[in-house]
Amino acid sequence: MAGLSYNMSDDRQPGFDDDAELVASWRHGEIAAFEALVRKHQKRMLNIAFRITGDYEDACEVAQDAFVAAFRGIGSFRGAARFSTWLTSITVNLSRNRLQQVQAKRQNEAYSLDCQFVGEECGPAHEQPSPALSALERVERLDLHEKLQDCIAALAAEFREAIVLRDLQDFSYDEICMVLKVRAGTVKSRLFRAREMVKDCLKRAVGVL
Amino acid sequence: MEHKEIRQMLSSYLDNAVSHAERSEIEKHLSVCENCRTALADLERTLAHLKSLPEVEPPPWLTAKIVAQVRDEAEQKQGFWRRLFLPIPVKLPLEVLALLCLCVTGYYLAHTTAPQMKLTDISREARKEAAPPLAPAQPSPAVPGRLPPASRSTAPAEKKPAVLPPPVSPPNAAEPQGGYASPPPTKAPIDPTVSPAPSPRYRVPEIASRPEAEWAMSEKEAMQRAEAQREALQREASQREEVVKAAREESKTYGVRMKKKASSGAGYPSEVTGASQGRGAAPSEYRPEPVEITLRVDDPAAAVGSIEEAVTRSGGRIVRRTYGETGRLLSVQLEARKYAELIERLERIGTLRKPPLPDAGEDGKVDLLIRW
Repeated sequence: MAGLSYNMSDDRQPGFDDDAELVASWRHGEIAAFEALVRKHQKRMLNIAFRITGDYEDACEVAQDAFVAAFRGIGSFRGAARFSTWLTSITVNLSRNRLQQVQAKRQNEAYSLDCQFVGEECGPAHEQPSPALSALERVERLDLHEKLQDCIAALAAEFREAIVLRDLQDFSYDEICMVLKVRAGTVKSRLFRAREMVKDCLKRAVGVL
Repeated sequence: MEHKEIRQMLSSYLDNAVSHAERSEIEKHLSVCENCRTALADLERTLAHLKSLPEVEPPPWLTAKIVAQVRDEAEQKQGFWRRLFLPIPVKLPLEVLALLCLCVTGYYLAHTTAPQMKLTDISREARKEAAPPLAPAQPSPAVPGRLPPASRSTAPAEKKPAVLPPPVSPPNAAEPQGGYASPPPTKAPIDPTVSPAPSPRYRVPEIASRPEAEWAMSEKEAMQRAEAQREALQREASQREEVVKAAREESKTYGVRMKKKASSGAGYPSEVTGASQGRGAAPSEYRPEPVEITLRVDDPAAAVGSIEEAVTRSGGRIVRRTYGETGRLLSVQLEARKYAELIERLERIGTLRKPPLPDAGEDGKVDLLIRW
């Protein structure tokens, strides 16, 4: 993977963790440092959980549980990976568990595409479309986003995780390998299949891409 | 690379996750393959749509909730240890005190629950037997033929000092230290002139196995009881002796005539004259050999109560109890006519080896030794 060039921002350089100081303070018992880390990462963790679970309330609970689990398990964090990667790994695992619980619960329920992922507090209500768009364009965009979310939700968990981390959260391949604990070839394969499935799903849903 | 392989690498190509050689090969294929160009364009649009998905905002309470939960956990964790050990100046002495109390209680329980033999009536009887032979009764100034009141003979004994002479012990027996009562011997000499007391006698326990502390604790009580027993025996002996004395004096006074009367069966009772049918001077001492009854029971310890009850219900009197670990022996005095009744009762308790019919004494009573 050394020969590959990935899309990485400056703060994602390997070996550099901009959370190291806050983590060190937190290890010394400063709750304020932990609070700062929560404020910094909560949105990203919430969005990962939301795109994997497909439910805003579930995502809030997953994000909360992930931070609490990180607080309890900070002793096992050795700093080999960046703190955000470690935290993302916790969030993805908890989201996967929650998704399995929800799927098991809904096994006997009738599948409804229209009302499956639109709750009172989640979905379009929290999206912030550009104010420059016209009302018609906003409606079309919201409709497209719903269809897109449905297409993501139709994916199997491993493809969903790959596409969320790479295309929605812009994680590098290395980070995805660490979070999902799979090899780079597996990540590429999963991404290819996930993208093809979403493309086909979207074509079926909206016609022309 | 074939068309299919190129098609699968388009996803990585868009991410710049291919090597330079792969990139040039893909670009070369794209220039000639319309399908792959279309697929790449669709893939780019799909990625654009995906990246256009807006992010959801966290609820405003999320941070506060997470931090509050974490603070609670941290305080609970610290609070437990703090409650347990802090503040040290207060808690530490209390904990040490509690530990000491536990140790003392444990030591006390370990000692009180240990097997022990209680110093009760056994030692009292043993001490009575170990006491020196009773002093001969003071010659009574009473007129012959008239029994003195009991208070007269007991009065001098009551005026004795509280401290009694030390009980008789074997000459080579070691004297206990620290003022402990000397242990009674296993067999104490008994004055032959004094008939055995009717109260039950017990086997003298092993002296060496008894803790010295028990001797010390009950010394005072034992001395007082021994003194009371001694006085009672003394009273009884003096009464008996006065009766005999009076009878002798009377027989001297009335001479041969009375002896003749006595030999013919009339006059004074045989126990006074001692001339009745050649049975000896002390008819009360005649007693046939006790009859031994052996009883087999399943639980000897549990059978003690049943056997004693059978004896009591049959009108028998328990003279002596000897309860050891290896065997139990009960000396019983019973009216001869109730012997069969007792045997019947005992047969209900266990297997009985039927003894021969006992020989009744002059008073119509038989002595039995029940062993089980």
